[in-house]
Amino acid sequence: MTSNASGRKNLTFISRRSPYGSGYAKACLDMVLSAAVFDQHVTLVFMDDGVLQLQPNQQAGDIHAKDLSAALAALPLYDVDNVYADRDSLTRRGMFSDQLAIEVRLCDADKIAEIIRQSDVVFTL
Amino acid sequence: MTTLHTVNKHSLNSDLLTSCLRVARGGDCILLIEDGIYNVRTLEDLAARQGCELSGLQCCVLHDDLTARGLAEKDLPDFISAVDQAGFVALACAHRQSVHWF
Amino acid sequence: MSSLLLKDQRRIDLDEDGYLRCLEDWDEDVAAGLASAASLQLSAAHWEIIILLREFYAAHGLSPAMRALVKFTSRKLGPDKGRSVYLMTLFPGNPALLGAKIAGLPRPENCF
Repeated sequence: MTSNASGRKNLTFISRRSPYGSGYAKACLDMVLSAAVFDQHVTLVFMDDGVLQLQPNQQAGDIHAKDLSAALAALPLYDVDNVYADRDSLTRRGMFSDQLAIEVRLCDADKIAEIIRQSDVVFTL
Repeated sequence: MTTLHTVNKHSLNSDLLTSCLRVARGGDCILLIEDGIYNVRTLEDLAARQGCELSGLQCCVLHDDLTARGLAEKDLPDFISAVDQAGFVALACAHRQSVHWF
Repeated sequence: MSSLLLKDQRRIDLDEDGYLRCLEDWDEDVAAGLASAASLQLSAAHWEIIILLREFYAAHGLSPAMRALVKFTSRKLGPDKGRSVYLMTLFPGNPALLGAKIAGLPRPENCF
């Protein structure tokens, strides 16, 4: 899982903001997709308010915004398959892991700590 | 394979320090900067409540952010030390990666 | 501001890269006009991909980068068409950029 001679790095993105309150969530996704296009080894972790991006049935058009969860659904098409959601953050926000907008792997703090340690660069936003 | 964490807000109005403490592991360094400085008085309690062992972590504050806010090195608990800008850079170099909680 | 003049004398506003300024302007005549500006004559094979690109945008709100376009095409039309070589023969140069342009999508953000 460490970087190798091919120039591929382990880039981890910790997305920890709600989808529409600021531009951070969208910016994080844009960075993830760009990193994937450049063939980097990408891991995306939803933590804290970031898990709110996973709420199903978002009707962002009602506030004249683009639906972020629809864009998240494109992650597999960019071969971003390492997508995690922090179980504790979900629980604290009354969200159920079997009712999320996209398929994610659940993780705990130990797993996030491990992901960070195996990363070359970590972005939190 | 250790990590430098920076935290720039007070734990009473953000979950940054809580999240940082959840994923910080032995050998990591937590550097309090900007309004994160105010955590010096509550860090120990917060960590205790979370069941986080501070002894394995290095805890620092950025000196100028501390003094700018009317605090001094003598106000710091024993387990927190102050670093200057060069010390910040040295910490960034000493750890494999940096995680900025902001 | 550049624009595209259609056979029916309609004038369509384009941005500096030749993409539609207003996505609602798009229809089949506009697509044909944009293609012809790129020296392309649209065939049924082109249309198949154009419809796919619009489907992608409707589903995800994104113009796909090459990698995603290839994978999406493979999923929808099978592995024979879901290859960059195939897409390159239809939309020479950069299929993600040229395809998005003709399909009336915004310029893909992650492409050069």
